Amino acid sequence: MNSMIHAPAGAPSDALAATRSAYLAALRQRVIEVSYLAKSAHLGSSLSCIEILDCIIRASGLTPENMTAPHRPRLVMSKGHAAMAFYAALEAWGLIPKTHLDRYLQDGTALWGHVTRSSAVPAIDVSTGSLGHGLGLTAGYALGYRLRGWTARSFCVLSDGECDEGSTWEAILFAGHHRLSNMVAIVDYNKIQSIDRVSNVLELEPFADKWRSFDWTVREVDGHDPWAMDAVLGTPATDRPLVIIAHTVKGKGVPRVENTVASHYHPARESDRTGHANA
Amino acid sequence: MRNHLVGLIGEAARSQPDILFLTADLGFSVVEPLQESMGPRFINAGIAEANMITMAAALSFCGFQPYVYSITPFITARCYEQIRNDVCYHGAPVRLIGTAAGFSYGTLGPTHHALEDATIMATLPGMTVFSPATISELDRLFALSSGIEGAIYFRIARENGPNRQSPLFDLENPVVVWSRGKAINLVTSGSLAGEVFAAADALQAGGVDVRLISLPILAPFPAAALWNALAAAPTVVAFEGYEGNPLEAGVAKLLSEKASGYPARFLNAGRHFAQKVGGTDFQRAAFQLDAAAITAAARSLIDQRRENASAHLRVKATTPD
Repeated sequence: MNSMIHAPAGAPSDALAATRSAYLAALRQRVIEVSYLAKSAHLGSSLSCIEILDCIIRASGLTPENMTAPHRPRLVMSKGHAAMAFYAALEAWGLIPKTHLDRYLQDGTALWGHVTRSSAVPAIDVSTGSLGHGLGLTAGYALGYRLRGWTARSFCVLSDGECDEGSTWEAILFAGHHRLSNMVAIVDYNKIQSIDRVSNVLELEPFADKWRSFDWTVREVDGHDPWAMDAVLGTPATDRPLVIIAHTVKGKGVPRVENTVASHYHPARESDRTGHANA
Repeated sequence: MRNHLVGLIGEAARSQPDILFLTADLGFSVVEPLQESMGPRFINAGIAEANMITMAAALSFCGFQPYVYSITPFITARCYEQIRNDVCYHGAPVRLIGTAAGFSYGTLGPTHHALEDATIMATLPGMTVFSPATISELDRLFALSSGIEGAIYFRIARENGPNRQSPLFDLENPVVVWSRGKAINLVTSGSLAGEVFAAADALQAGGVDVRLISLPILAPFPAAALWNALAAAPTVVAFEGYEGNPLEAGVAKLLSEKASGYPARFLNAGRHFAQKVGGTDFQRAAFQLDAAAITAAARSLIDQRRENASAHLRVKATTPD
């Protein structure tokens, strides 16, 4: 079992870059370990958003001290099937106790196979797992915070596949129209949805143009470059909601499953536990 | 009835700054006063019901009290999973307002009829279903709503219902007994009240002593309170919804569990979409849900009971004690 992973903080430097790279590799290994032990699917979906989740939590300012405050930053893990990555990232930031993930999917424990809120995990704001709900929840938070005069931002991690859902586009239209500049969506654009590639199922391209035409500010980044995402998340808000299209690789870090449809379904193998590559 | 409810919300919103009103771009000539008085707390979410429900859940997590309004099928069936996951699973105190119940929008067509809404709402964990028969019941429900945790679905008829003042009821005992006869129970809820009350009047005029009962709350089903309210007599249940609606399901379960021994007849909209163009009265007649059909069902039950009783006596007469 891994020792406790702690997220390093601070501005980029060679030393910190090495530390952060090692930390993210450990986070990725934690997910592989959990998938192997729990025989959990959605390994590929989880491994593509390791850096995204770390950057979002870092940028949000959510801490164990403020995680139940009414005006806290809000994190909505809309791609709730990548629960292992979300739980591991929350764990690294001290937002859920390690004991929970050690017993992932065991009978009678706290963490479900899709992101689920319960009294045992107060850091989890909302339950997801059915796609197309998260962006509307985030828009609701953003609208509510604006009405309340609260300044924290609301963040949403979307999968590319759930951009098939009409309800996602309802939320995009609403947030753009109302200039909800206090919300950030980040799409884990790994190009593979459930049982096929995005380009074969429902092509999203020109993806950035679509968001832009709905009055969003759009940034495209390498979703495995944490410094690039930090930079985008750290830039001052515009008068529009921000979407970060993060280009990623499904199954990132496990060469055997990288960029495969099967990585959505098959759990990690024993050989993956030590054979992983660093991000 | 919807104008009255919107008025109640507007009045409450004056003193309760956490009240929000969201509409899916509907409510012409009804919601404008709210738009005027509530400012940014009035939100036209666009013709996007799923997103509206989801946002309402998140708004409630910010401490707001959202009322969410649209035509019934659009705010129940259209966005059912959003109600299930985002509202009910999270225990969000969202208030859903569907207009209008049953065949209220008769000529607008089956897309606008609301016959499964009560059933699908009542089966959701944590959902309370309000189904007022009269304005007086609606007033009382609205006053009681602050004591309810979680979501509420307001099943609202287009008509105001019978102009009668209901006795007070509370959340522990949400059953209204309008007349205390002993020959037959007429049990209804919500939009069909006009027809059922008319049937009760016709039966009374014909010398039948009717116990007329309405249930302003359909879920959770007030079984114990209803059992206390029923007369020891046959029962006609009439509801403007498909077969298996929560009123008839609740009554059937109750009578079965209590082994009452009295027969019951369930009048509903069957399992069919409306076939012919027609207004509310036309559809109710076509589906055997009008006052005449309810009256006939009650008379038939009473006659059946008399026949059974005399058959029983004939058997008794030929059987040695």
